Amino acid sequence: MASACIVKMKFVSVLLVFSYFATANGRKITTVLNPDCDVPECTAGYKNGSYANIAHIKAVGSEDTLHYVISTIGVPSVLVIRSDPTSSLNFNWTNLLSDNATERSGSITLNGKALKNSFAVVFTELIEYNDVDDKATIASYFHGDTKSTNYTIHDFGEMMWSQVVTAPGNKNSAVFNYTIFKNDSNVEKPEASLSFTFNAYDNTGRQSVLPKMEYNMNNTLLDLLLNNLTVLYEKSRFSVGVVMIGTSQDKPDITETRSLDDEYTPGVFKMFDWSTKPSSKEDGGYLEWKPICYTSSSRNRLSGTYVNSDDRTDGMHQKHYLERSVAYSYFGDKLFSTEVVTSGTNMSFGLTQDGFYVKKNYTVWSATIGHGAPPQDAISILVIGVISAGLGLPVVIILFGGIFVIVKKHMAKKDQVMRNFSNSYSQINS
Amino acid sequence: MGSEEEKKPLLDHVQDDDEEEELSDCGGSLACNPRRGLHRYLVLIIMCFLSFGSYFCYDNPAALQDTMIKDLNINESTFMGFYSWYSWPNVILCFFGGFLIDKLFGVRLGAIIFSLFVTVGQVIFATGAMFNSPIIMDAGRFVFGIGGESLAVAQNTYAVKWFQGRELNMVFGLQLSFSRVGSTVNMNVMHPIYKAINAALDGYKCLGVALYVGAGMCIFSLFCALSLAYFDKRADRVLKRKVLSSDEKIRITDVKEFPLTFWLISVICVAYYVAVFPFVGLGLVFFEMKFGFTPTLANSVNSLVYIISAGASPLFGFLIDKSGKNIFWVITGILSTLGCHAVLAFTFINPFVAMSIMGLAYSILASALWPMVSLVVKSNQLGTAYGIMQAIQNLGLAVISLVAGIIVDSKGYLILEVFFLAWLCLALIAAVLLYLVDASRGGLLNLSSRQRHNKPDDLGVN
Repeated sequence: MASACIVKMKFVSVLLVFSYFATANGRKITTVLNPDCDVPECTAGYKNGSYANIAHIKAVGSEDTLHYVISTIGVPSVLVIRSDPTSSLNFNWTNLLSDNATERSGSITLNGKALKNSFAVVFTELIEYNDVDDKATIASYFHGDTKSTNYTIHDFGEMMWSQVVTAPGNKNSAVFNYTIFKNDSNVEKPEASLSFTFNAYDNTGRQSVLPKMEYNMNNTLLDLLLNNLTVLYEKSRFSVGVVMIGTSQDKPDITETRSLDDEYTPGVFKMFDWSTKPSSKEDGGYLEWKPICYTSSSRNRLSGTYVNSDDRTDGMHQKHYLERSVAYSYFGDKLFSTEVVTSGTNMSFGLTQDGFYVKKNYTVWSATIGHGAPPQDAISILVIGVISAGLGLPVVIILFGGIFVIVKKHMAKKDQVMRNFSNSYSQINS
Repeated sequence: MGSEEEKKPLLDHVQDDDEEEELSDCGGSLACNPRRGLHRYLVLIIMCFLSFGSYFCYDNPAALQDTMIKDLNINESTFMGFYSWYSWPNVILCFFGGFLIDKLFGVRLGAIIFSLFVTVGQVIFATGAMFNSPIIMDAGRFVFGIGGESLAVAQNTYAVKWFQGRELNMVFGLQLSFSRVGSTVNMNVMHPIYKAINAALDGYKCLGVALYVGAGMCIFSLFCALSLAYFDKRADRVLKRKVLSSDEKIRITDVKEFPLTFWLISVICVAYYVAVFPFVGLGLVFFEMKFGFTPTLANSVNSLVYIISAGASPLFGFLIDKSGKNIFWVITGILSTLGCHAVLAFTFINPFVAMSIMGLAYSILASALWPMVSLVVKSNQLGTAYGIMQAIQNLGLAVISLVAGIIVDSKGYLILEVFFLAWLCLALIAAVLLYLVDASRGGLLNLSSRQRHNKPDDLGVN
């Protein structure tokens, strides 16, 4: 019965999605890398070779504009400012890069009217932990044990970020990449990399690769790649700290949706959305993902492994990271006031017995960040067709076969009766 | 048909036959007298161990997967090759194996020859490992495969020969359970053996020696084949079992004259098996991801079908012997499996329930289905019939495993489950048809056991 209920709900959501797209007008999307940059840190890089990067993806609609400010300054963050359609952003780069928090505060300003429910997603830290018990979640090592030698925090702020570029084939995209070089007989060869890739689209569709997350004009697709990193422990796994910053007065909360249907992402029956306004998601911002990451670039079912996000926090003990993010550059001290509510989690990549990160030395995870109701997977026409053909046909055959047999038996009985009758008749006659 | 007639021939037979062999010493005792039940059961034990070696060695690669990949320095697909070199040739070969049992070897010689193939194949496989040569190992698996599946056909034929009209369903159940025991013992024993040898030898040499231990099991089964041949020959002599007359030549074209009921049984067999085993092959990820099980737990749920069938199939076989009505049992098995797959596909109910019931359903089906063949096919063509059934089943499993992998990779587990449900529906339709066709021909297959006993002449179309 439960299944029928879920299927029904899916149908309703299909209708909702359709009606939603029917009424909403399209968005015009443009991307500027390092807008208004007038400092050398974003054109020639810092002295140590790292670059200061901002990508400004603007999605202009008829009722509002979504400004995605994506940056690796401080810590990798995605700031989504919702404002009136004609609004624009100003970036004061000198203040943005200042070591002084007061100067950083307000270095990104909005020209135009701010609308409700701007939000930000901040990737606070990359944690590498020695999963001695093969638990595949950071929760058992990270908390309460400050002296533990079983984990190391890799500070995103100390990584040597390359200059931001667009991804091949999509001008509305941004790749933030950190390449680690290996000195091989005096020639520097790229050995490992960590990258955040963002793709925005003005239509609705799905990733061409697994997990086939749905993108639309109201969200931006994120891929986080940890490729060939050198591990510190024998049983290393990685976990990324994420903080969701919401301005809706609701506490951002992670909702798990179960589905019977795994047609888009084979083997995955769950989806998580982390809305800044759980009570009415269509008005809030969200981070949405499936609990799966892949350990090979071919991203097939067999290379899939779990993403555990059970290690929830309120996000505030990571205040020092938030203060370094572009979210602080926009919100300023409001970030730590009652106007803003945060929550946090650690995304731990891997599953018990999967051989740890070193088995494949590769992890890629996808998610979407956007405004409005997080897309839900609906059962496709194909699946409904297959189910009705695969199960309906045999049922029809059995049904008609059964009726045929019963009718035939009945007729035979009738014949028998007739024959008996005629037999007795002839006997009498003889 | 009175009970008079039922007793009469037996009495006549014993009393009137002047040439009745005198069984002396042990030969006349309960245990050694082929006319007595106890002797049959003792032979049954040997019969069960006949294919123990082949089931033990079949899963040697799986039991040593990690070490094998490391020691031989091979990749996953080369490793999987050890299974495809076994299974693909058997899509055809066991049909000929069964035919040769009928036409040329007879079941005794057949069993010995196929046991020899199994042993030689395993020796080649182990030798290949000793020389770190995957090609020789593939060849070994191929030779092993020629023997393995045909040996199973010989075992079925033996079972019918000794137990038809008696405890046949239970015997089939017991053989099924023994095949599981063989691979379970292998799974638990091979690793310790490997570790023990590892104290003296390293790498692929160690692997090779461990595999020679497997060959030892095959030699044990070979001895079983030899002693079975002895007992069977003796029983033929004592019981004066009908020897095949030379004018009853068996041709391969006789297959065309196999009754429709046989083909329906084959369809049920393939359509049912493909809905169970390829699913078990893909089950791990399904239980981990859909039900949030840990890999260890997922593995136990996944192996439930095997474990339960090992315990339950002799019991169900016994019940089916008592009750008769094989088609009814087959339909029950298919319907319960349908229900289990539907529950797995369309609900989040704990899969322990569905998988346990599926294990029971599989046991019911397997013990009720295979013996039916002996009721519809002449006894001198049984080898061919079982060979065909096994071949069709192998073909189905090989192809459907591939297709199932493709489906789950492109469309996911829900569609995969629907695919399996469709196969089960096909099995159900075939079973209902079997019932109708059989009913129109007198309803031999679905007699209750009492009716069967009252109709001894119809038993086994000799």
